[in-house]
Amino acid sequence: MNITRVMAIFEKDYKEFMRNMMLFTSVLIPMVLAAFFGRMDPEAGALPSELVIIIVGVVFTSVTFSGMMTMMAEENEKDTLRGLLQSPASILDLIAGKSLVIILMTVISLAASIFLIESDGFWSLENIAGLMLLGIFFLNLGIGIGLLVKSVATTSVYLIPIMFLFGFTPYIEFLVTEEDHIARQIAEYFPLYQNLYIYNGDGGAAEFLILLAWVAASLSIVLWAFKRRKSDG
Amino acid sequence: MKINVSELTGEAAGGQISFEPGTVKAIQMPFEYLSRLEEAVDPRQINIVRANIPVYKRLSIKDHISFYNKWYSRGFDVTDLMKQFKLEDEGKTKLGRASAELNQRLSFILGLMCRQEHILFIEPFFQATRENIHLFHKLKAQLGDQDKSIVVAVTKTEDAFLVQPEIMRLTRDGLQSVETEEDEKTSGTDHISKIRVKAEDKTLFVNIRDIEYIESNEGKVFINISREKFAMESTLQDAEKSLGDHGFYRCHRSYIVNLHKVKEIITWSKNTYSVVISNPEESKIPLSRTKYNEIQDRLIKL
Repeated sequence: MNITRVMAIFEKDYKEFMRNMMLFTSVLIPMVLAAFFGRMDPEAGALPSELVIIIVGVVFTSVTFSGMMTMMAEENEKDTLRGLLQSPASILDLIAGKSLVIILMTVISLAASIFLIESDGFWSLENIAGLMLLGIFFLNLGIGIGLLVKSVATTSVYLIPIMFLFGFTPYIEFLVTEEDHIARQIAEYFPLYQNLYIYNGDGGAAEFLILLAWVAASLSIVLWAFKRRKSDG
Repeated sequence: MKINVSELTGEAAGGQISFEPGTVKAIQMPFEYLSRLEEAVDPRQINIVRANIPVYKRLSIKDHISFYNKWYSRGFDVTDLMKQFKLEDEGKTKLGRASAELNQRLSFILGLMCRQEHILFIEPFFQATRENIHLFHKLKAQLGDQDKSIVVAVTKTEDAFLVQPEIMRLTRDGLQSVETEEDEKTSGTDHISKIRVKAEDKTLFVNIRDIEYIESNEGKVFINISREKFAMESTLQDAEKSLGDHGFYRCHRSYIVNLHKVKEIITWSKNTYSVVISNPEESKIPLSRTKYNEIQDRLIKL
């Protein structure tokens, strides 16, 4: 990995991110939602932890996953990478540089959202560890799909299902009220539920192992996408 | 680095376009071969300088140059580079809004900064401004100093001569160099006012004072009159003989120019000259080095 090139990409993509309305507003959306949730129903006491976790899910899907995917798709669409990638190592520099921008934006968006929703005790060590694993999972998903999509328009095809499945998972409790329903039992193995348990203080080794399994799965998607892209030429 | 000609023409005729360090090749070829050439090259080994290069639309020209300077670990002084390529006032211009002229200047800078050993120019003079042709020659000299190999592919013969006096031609018969040495001088005496040309099934008679220039291309002679090209049933020698007294001048082995239509003479580099015709597109006709002084005498005495 070449640090100069990583930093060159970071600087370029940071500027592009700030000037791209679509990406820039994606950082603001979770903040607006958080401000809205944080101010509703002050008498009801503490906010349900599901809502806090859904804000986390929105940050990770709309900033981490969607941002990464869109940035990669834009390069593919405009063919700006032609000639830039002269060695196989340079794509790693490119991904590393973009990831740094996305990580920075994710941290800003998440910190501001949590501040606005006024959740106490969110930044515990356990919770941060869980969030890091969740972040890697969504980042990998964004890289994997971003490597394959040819245009920015197609990214929304992937964004909506991923957002509903992985970003809004706890919403299933509103849709399926029956507690032992099979859908709810499956949903409890989804990554965001692990973060919910960790946030509630019920997190143990099992939750972290499940999150690690999701990270491993997302990593294999990235490797598979690399192979596909290589064979496509 | 070599590209087989048969890949481009689909014909058996052999030959290769070879990229050799420190050399410049100007090759005229039909449009379809040119697009096949652009497809055939591997961008990891050959940097393609062409019109309308892909850009990050949201970035300014200065951001762009700084980014590539860092990506290729080149220690260029960005401000200096922008001054060299006449971009000093355009640093803040967003590339999404930049004109084709600025885009081409950026493509020149990227060609200078790239790490590839070989540079392929695709139609660098198509709709290029005069300033950019000058910048092309500046770039050519700088790339020569870096010992890069350069191939310039164009569709018009005049454009190939804008690169240098020695040019090559790619046809279905393969790659050949175009003869450019001078013939002995001829002069005529007959007085004529019109010349016979063919356009498909018609035979036209054109006023010789309307002719802008006459060119010979692959054994055929064409007359150029304000954007139109007519075939002429005569050799360039015969045309020179009969038109020599009417203010026409053989400025190059394959060109005769009407001196009355000459607007100016441009020096691109120490042995590359052009005669500019006073027509809307400012056609640039090659001028041999040996004719550089003589044509000026003729223009003065006209």
